[in-house]
Amino acid sequence: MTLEKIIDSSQVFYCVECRKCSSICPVTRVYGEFSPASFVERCLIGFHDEILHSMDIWKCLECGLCESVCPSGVKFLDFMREIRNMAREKGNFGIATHEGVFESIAKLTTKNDIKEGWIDGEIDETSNIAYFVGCLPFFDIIFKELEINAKNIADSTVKLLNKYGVIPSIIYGCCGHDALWTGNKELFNKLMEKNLEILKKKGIEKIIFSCPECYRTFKMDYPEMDIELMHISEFLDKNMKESVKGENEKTYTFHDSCRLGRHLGIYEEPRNVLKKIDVEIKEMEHNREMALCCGTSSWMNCDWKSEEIREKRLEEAKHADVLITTCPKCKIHFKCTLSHKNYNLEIKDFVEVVAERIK
Amino acid sequence: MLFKQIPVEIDNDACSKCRICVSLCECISYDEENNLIFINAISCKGCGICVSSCPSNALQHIFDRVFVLSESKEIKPFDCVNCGYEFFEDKEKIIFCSRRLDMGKAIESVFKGKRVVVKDCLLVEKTTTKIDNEKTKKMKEILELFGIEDKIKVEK
Repeated sequence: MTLEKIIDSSQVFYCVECRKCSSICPVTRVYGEFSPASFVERCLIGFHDEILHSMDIWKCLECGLCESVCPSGVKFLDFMREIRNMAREKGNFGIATHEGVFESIAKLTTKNDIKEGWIDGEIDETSNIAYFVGCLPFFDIIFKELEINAKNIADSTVKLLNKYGVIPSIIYGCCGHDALWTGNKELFNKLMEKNLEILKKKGIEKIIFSCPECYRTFKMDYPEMDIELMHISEFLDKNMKESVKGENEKTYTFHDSCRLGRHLGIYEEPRNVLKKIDVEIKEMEHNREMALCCGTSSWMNCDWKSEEIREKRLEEAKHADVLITTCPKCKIHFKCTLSHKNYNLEIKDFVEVVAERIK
Repeated sequence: MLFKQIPVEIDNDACSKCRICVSLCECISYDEENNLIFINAISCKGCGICVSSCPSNALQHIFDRVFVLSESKEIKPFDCVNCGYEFFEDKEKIIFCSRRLDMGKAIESVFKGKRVVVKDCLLVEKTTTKIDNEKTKKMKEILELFGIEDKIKVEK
């Protein structure tokens, strides 16, 4: 694909240069030289080679704030993704965090299967309802010091599914989200093929996700399937009829992750569920459509500026004792900042909070 | 510790802001506003090209220093003492020094069907971490999840 084609397919030429995107972009706030508007402009003028070789393209968080304010419907996320794909062909790979270990793991997933039996709880491998675990098992190993407790997220999800009459089969694997957003389409296609094969072999009719990134990838980037896809918050909102009373000693706040919020438009379901279990949420200044990003995405480009984005978000949550997030990666990134900064805050995953309340 | 590996530090007072290091490495950037050089600690692999290029010796490798976060948490950053161990790779195997184990590259080598050998530092008495350090353990655990146990070997 040439850059002209990318401009065509992502409607970049609709840009009216209002610069709303640059004024709202969380990266521009900390990184003066990065700006979505000037990016689009430079591309339209014809600085193609310069763009493909610049490191700026890896700074975008794909949080989608720019798209939500764009008056002329420029698909900036698609544009960025295609440009990254092209830059990769030119040898511009960006700086991967954590030594690129997650890309290597994704590559290894295409060849080897991940060992089963990592999750506790009632599991039926013949069931046609599946729970897609994603890369949770690796988080516990790689971020051992941060005490992410990813196993608790998976266990809680299975516990909640069991409670509402679903005994799921478990699918281990990588959805390919990070490969896709870092422009590695070849790897993404391989992972997708493998996942689709597993789904076909198991005869899956419904998949439940606890990770918004996997959910987004299956829903929006995979070819259309005859399978019902659901996030755990949607499942609970649908199946939870009773309301549970609990002690409310702590103040809670909710962080909308980009993928579940702006990409998929799920804002109210997790809030409804939290209301049912008697968790009162005191919203942050930026919430729902305007929620701020956790600062890093697709394991790319994490530096002291990303730290600043995270600190801005945590500063907003200062009134609360517990920050609830739906995305395990947000949990990792916030916990990383908490490990060396003084905040009196606890980061918990949405399913963990729900599973704690429901006995 | 992986998540906050800080192999190189900069003394901004000694730095003359010549920005040779910035031109050499993507992990180093120059903040014009405050006239400071920054190192992207998460991405830096500690290759040392910036250290050797610095004319005013403002960039230095960090050896054997422990950062204490809290009572129970300690960070051990980069632990290489430049013993001169040669990184080796051929069609069959890839050899890392235990203090310079690159998990991304190691797992990719396993993907390509190579064996990973982790060897101890030549100047072993100068470093404080044991050969079976955190990173090697993490590597093993990741490969165990894939059911691969025979591909990584730790040697004295």
